[in-house]
Amino acid sequence: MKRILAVDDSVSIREMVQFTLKQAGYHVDAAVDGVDGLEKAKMGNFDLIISDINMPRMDGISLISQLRNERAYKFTPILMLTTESGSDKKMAGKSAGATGWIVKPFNPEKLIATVQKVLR
Amino acid sequence: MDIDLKQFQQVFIEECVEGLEVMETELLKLTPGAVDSEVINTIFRVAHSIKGGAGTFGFNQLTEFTHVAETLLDDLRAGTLVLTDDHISLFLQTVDCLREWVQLLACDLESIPDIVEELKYQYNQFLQRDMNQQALPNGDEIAVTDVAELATNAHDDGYWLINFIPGPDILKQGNEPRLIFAELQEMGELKVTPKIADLPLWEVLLPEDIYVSWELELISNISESQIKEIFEWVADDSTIIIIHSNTFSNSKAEYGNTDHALAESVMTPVVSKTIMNNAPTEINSIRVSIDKVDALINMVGELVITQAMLGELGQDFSAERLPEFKKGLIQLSQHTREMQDSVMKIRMLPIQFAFNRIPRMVRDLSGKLGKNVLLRMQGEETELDKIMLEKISDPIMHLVRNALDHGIETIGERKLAGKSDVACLGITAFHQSGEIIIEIRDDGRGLNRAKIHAKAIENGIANQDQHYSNSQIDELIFAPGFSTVETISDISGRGVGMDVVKRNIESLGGDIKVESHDGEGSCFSIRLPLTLSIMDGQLIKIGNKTYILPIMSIIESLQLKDGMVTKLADQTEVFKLRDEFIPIIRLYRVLNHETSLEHITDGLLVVVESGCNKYGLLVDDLAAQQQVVIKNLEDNFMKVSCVSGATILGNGTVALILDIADIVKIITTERRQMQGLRAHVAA
Repeated sequence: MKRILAVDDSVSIREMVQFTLKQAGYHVDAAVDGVDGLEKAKMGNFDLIISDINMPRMDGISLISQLRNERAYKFTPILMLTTESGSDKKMAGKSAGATGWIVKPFNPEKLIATVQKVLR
Repeated sequence: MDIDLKQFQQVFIEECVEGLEVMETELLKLTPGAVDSEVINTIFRVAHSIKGGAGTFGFNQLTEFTHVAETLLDDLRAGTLVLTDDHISLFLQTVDCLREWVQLLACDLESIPDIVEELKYQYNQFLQRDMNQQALPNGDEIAVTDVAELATNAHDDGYWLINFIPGPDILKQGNEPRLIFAELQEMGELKVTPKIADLPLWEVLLPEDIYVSWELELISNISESQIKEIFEWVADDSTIIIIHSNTFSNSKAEYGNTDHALAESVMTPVVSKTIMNNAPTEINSIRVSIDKVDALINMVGELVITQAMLGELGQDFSAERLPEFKKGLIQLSQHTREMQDSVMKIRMLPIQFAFNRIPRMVRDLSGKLGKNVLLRMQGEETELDKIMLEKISDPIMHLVRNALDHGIETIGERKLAGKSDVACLGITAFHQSGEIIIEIRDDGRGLNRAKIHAKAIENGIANQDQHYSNSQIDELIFAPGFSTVETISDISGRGVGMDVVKRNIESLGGDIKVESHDGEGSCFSIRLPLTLSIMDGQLIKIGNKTYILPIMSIIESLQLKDGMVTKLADQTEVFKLRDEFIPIIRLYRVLNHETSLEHITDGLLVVVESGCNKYGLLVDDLAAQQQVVIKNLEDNFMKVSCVSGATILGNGTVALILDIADIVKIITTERRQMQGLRAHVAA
């Protein structure tokens, strides 16, 4: 079973992502912010990390660049959740090493479709 | 797969409520001109989360509104706008508005607060943008693309030639060409030809970079935008050339038209749903830290072990195993008690939730009243039962309002009195011997005793001839029907007096006291039990029945001697306790029981306090004091007068818990009716 780590400070989004992806047959762990995410990522061996951008303690952009410095996550797909339709956040994410993005708001179908793009 | 988003809406709503609390607290930390980036970031994050969640869970109008607020916050965060007091006020109004909105959502109502349009207008004034130029929030954009995709499905099969020259870094971003090709393959027939002309010499090859490019041939009814979407994440770094054999097909032109039509229909969303006439419901769930749950689970584990041990003992019991059995029982009682504690802790929340609204109110009111107030809050982390927390919030707010309105003087008055301009309002919560104390202390003028006394006499609450001590006068403000303000101000005089505050606190099993020093200020202290469902009870005997009195309301108990009791004209029996005359209530009469007492001096008199008055309850005997678990009678049976609940005693019998306030009320009405009757007869 593919393992996914979902990082978001919003409980409702986190629960939704977790629930949806579990339904789709993935193993999903959740983290509440960048610091938590990094810690959990280091502990578990994830096939995909989905992270929000705006979070307390450590934001998504820093999380992504820190993850890319980890050997285990050098090539792992990392998707960012972003509401920003403007491209500067996307670009910042890209240059930090993000694989792609999921634009909020998203529905469960879209989420699964996007995840399937990178987990096959 | 069908996933119902409804199940997450509740979580989202709770999250909003909590987020708004945070937003308000942080907003109050802001000072115009100087922007603390951490504070503004936190505020931004809340607005952002609400916007994101609202879009995801289908509240598009909410997304649109928070989007505007977020835009202004973003400008402030980026420093393109300088923060003013007007901004802060607007954001605070937004918090109020969102609270109302979220409540509506919680009740499944689709209406939006009236003030939304007004606030939007204000935001746009600040943003100096035309409404029309306002970027549509994402919710609508998504709607467009989703339907647009559907529209393009009708394409004829086409031949696509795609030249894909990837950027060197795409692997390091976790993008795999293999996956992109797999996705394209699902769209139709795909032929992949790798080009390795750019492959460098082995010595200079960086293994993590990509040097291959591909030529892809695809036969599919896919649209160009769909292909672009597949390449979306690598498009910025790579070169992608897409050629269609029939680029200017008719269907393409049609697609453009449909797109336009769609955009128009999106501008006027048709949202109409029957509005249910639901009464607003309180959000009734509780979030518990995992530690508390773990502690509880641990305890249950222990309990199961003990139970197994006792079970095994019971299977095979003999007299010599009695010590073992006793040990097991002791363990059982210990675990049960610990578990009780753990369960109680689950319901406990920090009093912060009740305190949160205070800074905002102090800010608003002190501005309105022209007073300069420094608010100090302590012990916000003190934990309190959730239900109690909800019910104590209003009384606390009332007391704070009173302190600001009546207690604290204006700057001018303070100067005259030789005090510093800035008044101090301290709110403290702490635990003290199994109770919670909440103090609201100001350094204002103190209670005006002469005025209170005069007013109390005028309102018939106090007796002109009687001498009152200072503390007795202070207590008068809690008497029903008392209010010293001549003109009702819109701040504290809302027809709700201190008597209501006191009553509310008493209904929680607590009480309130005031201490005041002329010219130095007053301190109201509220005392509350830790929880509503367990209390310390005094078992009393009336005839052969056992009842329970809350220990908190008992002042003392004593035995009457001959000659101590005096009968008043209306047959009320009173006795003199030190300087006070205290009416006696014969409980067996109120409760309609046989009594074992032949004479009043045989029994015991329990002096209790209810409202501002003391009463002597005549009981046959006092039994043990113990902690009792309160069971609600209304849930299981019906409301019974004089009784506030029931409990199960150690021997398995049910004992009723007496409601002193209710008993006093019944006696007083009876007495009044009697008086009326007598007056009638006399006439």
